[in-house]
Amino acid sequence: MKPRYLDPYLAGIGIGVVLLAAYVLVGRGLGASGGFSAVVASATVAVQAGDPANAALAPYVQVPVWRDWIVLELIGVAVGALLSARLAGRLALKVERGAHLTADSRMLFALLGGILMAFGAKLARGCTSGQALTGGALLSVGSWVFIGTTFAAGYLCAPLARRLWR
Amino acid sequence: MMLDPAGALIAAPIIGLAFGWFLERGGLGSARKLSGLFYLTDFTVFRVLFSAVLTAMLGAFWLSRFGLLDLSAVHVPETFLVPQAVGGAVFGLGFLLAGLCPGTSCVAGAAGRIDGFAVIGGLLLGVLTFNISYPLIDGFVASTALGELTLPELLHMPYGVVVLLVTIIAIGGFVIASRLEKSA
Amino acid sequence: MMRRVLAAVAIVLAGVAAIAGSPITGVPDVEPDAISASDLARRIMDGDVLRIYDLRDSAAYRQLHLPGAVPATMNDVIADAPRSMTVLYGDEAARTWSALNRTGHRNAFVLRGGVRAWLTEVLEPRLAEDATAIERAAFAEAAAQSRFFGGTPRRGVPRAELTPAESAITRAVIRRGC
Repeated sequence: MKPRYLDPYLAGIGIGVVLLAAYVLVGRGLGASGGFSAVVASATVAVQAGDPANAALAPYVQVPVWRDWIVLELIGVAVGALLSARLAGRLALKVERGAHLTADSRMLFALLGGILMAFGAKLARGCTSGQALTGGALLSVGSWVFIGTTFAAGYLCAPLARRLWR
Repeated sequence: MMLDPAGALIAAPIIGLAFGWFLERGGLGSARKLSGLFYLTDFTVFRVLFSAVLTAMLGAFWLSRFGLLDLSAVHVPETFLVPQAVGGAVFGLGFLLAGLCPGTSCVAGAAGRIDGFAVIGGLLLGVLTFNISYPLIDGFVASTALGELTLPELLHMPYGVVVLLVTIIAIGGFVIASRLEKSA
Repeated sequence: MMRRVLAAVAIVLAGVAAIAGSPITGVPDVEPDAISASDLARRIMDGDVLRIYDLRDSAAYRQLHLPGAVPATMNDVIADAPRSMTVLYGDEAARTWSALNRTGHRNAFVLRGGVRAWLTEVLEPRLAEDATAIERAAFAEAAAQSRFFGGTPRRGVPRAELTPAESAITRAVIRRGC
């Protein structure tokens, strides 16, 4: 019998406590998109396709990628997710998609969505983890603006994307 | 209670592990579940996100009030008003199409979801594209910088009052979400 | 049922927070008086008596500091007990302002926008290539200020670059995101 999902409020409280622990122990919150920036920047410099002093890359190559806080955090996220999925019997190699979408289409839109999210996260200096969650809890104005426009855009465009999910 | 730089690096994957654990437990590794938010059928993402925000916000207030946390030493993400507004909109569209965000794409991938890997690939591509186009947009990216600006400062209200307002709005949202789900 | 309990707990915690005062010990819920970078520049040019304290770390001070600014920590400033017009900048500026305010000092200011504002408003003001007459007039004063402090006013800047992003000095001031 597969365990069902945890009550969303309890999961949220759990994440909130983790976030608090980060504030207390490390003086910063959680993040995700920054890790992707660090990986790309490090790789770009490593293959000598970019100058480490370049304004777009510089903030991410101050430390080696394996000593970047967010990268290490993301590795933890993957391990934690793996553990939880394994214990819950949810580990499965498959393409999750809407009922009326082919796997190929799903992969394409997942890729496209990822590209858009990366651009948006770079502009906003963070994503749902870094801005909505971390910045939101700290009452940062920019973070709450980000939350607002993220949800607004999602809801406004949802009718157009019905084919993907319904 | 803050750790030294070495300790902080050791704490990173541990903190991440707990984060990933709760994300998966809450069902946020499932793109279909996440998309339910935008079709008003499944508000799980909304509930998880805002109860996390409430917990951390209230916790940070009270820990700081009792001297166990130095809120002024915690890095508040800086505000770049217009880039963040635009970035949020672009992000929201991507989120709708992908059904996963950067953090949950790692959760999905770790659980074997191949679409999670596609999102990760897209994110890496997107960052690369951004870096390449950076010289063209750097002025915009750095515009309307307001520093570490918080809502209490902006609204000239006491911190605790803003905390109360956010709490009320979030709980109101939870109530509305439940009603909408019931009628879905 | 559990949800109602959780909601009640949250409301109680938030409700008490609303009347519990500031969570940041040492900073009352009063916003510090602030002075803009160009106002400060004007006063320096007029020869007003000022005490300017740079509350950042020594590396930042060495890289760039305001004319006449003295590196200091919050405790240094309080020990100094200045009485003339005082300007503070750095992360600790607000807390230091509050501390000074509590000692009765009513002529202290935080530099609005910090060093970054000094750079963009005073040292490197920019004029768009398609500037209006009003913008040109404002720029004339800004340029005079800039030259006084040894800065470099820039004309003919494309509109998109009016807020400078990555000049050599500002690059060090901007942080990455999450």
